[in-house]
Amino acid sequence: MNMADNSDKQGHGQEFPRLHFLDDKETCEMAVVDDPDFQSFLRAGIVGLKFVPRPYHSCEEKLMSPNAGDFSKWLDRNHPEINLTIDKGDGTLVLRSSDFWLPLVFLASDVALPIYLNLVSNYLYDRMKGALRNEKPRVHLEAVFHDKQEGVSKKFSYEGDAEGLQKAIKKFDLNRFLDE
Amino acid sequence: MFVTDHVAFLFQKLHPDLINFMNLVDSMNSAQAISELNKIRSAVDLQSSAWENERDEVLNEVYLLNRFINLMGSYSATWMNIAGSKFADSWYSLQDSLDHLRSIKKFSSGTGIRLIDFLENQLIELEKLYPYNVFFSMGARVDLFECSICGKDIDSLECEHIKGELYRGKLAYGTAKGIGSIDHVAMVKHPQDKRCVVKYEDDGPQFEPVRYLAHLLTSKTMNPLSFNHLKFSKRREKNPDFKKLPRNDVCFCGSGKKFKKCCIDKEFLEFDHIDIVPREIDKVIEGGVTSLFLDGQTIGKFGTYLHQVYA
Repeated sequence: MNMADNSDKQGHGQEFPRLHFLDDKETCEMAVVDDPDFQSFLRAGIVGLKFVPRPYHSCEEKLMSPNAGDFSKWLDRNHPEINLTIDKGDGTLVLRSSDFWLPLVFLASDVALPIYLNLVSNYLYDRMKGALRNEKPRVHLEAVFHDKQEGVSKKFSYEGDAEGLQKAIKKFDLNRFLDE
Repeated sequence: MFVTDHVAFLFQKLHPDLINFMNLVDSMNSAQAISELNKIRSAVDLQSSAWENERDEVLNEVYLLNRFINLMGSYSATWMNIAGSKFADSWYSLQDSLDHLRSIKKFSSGTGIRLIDFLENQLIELEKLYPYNVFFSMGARVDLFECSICGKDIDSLECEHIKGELYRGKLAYGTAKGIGSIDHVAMVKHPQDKRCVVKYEDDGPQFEPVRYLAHLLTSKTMNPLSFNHLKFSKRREKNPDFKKLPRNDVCFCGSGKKFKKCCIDKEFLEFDHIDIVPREIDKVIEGGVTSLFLDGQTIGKFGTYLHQVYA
């Protein structure tokens, strides 16, 4: 997504905002991670989802992503059965983008990744009411979960449109079906 | 579009004035169009002020009706700015129109009127004529967003309002509080606000396609409501600089290379070409603008009629 960064300082020691170039790239990645915070989350025996703030680009503070608050309220209204824990962090990130920027989420053992992705898909559908016919929602999401079969923690990262997300959901469902 | 008796009846009552307004826009009569819209706005304000204690649905539809009237205003401004060669400003009024359309689509109930579909199709096409493809979007840190309805943190569960929803005719939105330093400025294709662009001068070459549209309007070749869609294609034209040379001669372009390794295949050049395709439906449907204020079902009948005429 982030293709190039300009320097932070441009002459006379005066600090300017950095310039980023963003594009339409679609990514769907799964990686094994060793995240101490996720391990603590698992050990605490918390169920449901946990929204986790994180540093963003040059911000050293841990920030909650732009759509985290709205997504948490949507979950609270539409899926009150899901336990939601929110670590607010040091503030909220504002991006002035029409994309949906969801928070980094820790998934407990009672919420499988395909279930979480379906929740995201339904949230996007609701929030795109009123969109013009040439507008497709794009979403940025990250979810960390424990893969019981392999005994490791994994991070799923997705950046793309809602159709691509649907394909990812089908792929995970198929994998689960083949494993059973 | 409206389901409460109050607002549906008011909207019905405003139909003749709205049709008159659209005809004035179509004939590019700017001053009279503004005056007509102000008259409509006053009528809505007067009527809706008596409904302050009505139920939520009525107040929410008053909000919707006001957005519709604002759409009429920005739609008119878009075409008047184009015709007046204020191309940079026309981009802003076009974006205002599209914002109003999003709101109207989101909050409308029941059968929509054909005008909304027509405007959506037309304005999406019109947007393609502009040179803006990349936009600016900033990244910053804020402490919280204060809810416009209750004043609490709109992202917290303590606030019962949802951003972008209506509550007794008022839109819930968050106002940034405790804005920290700006982290970066990004160049994006999907900004929240398409008004954040590098502004071009009205007489710049970037506006050439919009300038041609302005010429069509001012020469009365095309009316605003006739603008339908754009057809993008490539057109091959003879290269005026091309010189046929012996293969091993130095190329005419000044590259210093041999002709056969440089411009030998550039006798014809390919250019982007845009056709502005007008709308023809009014040639068949009597009533013109009036038909745009009919609902979807009635238009279905016209659709059949059209099919029969052309079959």
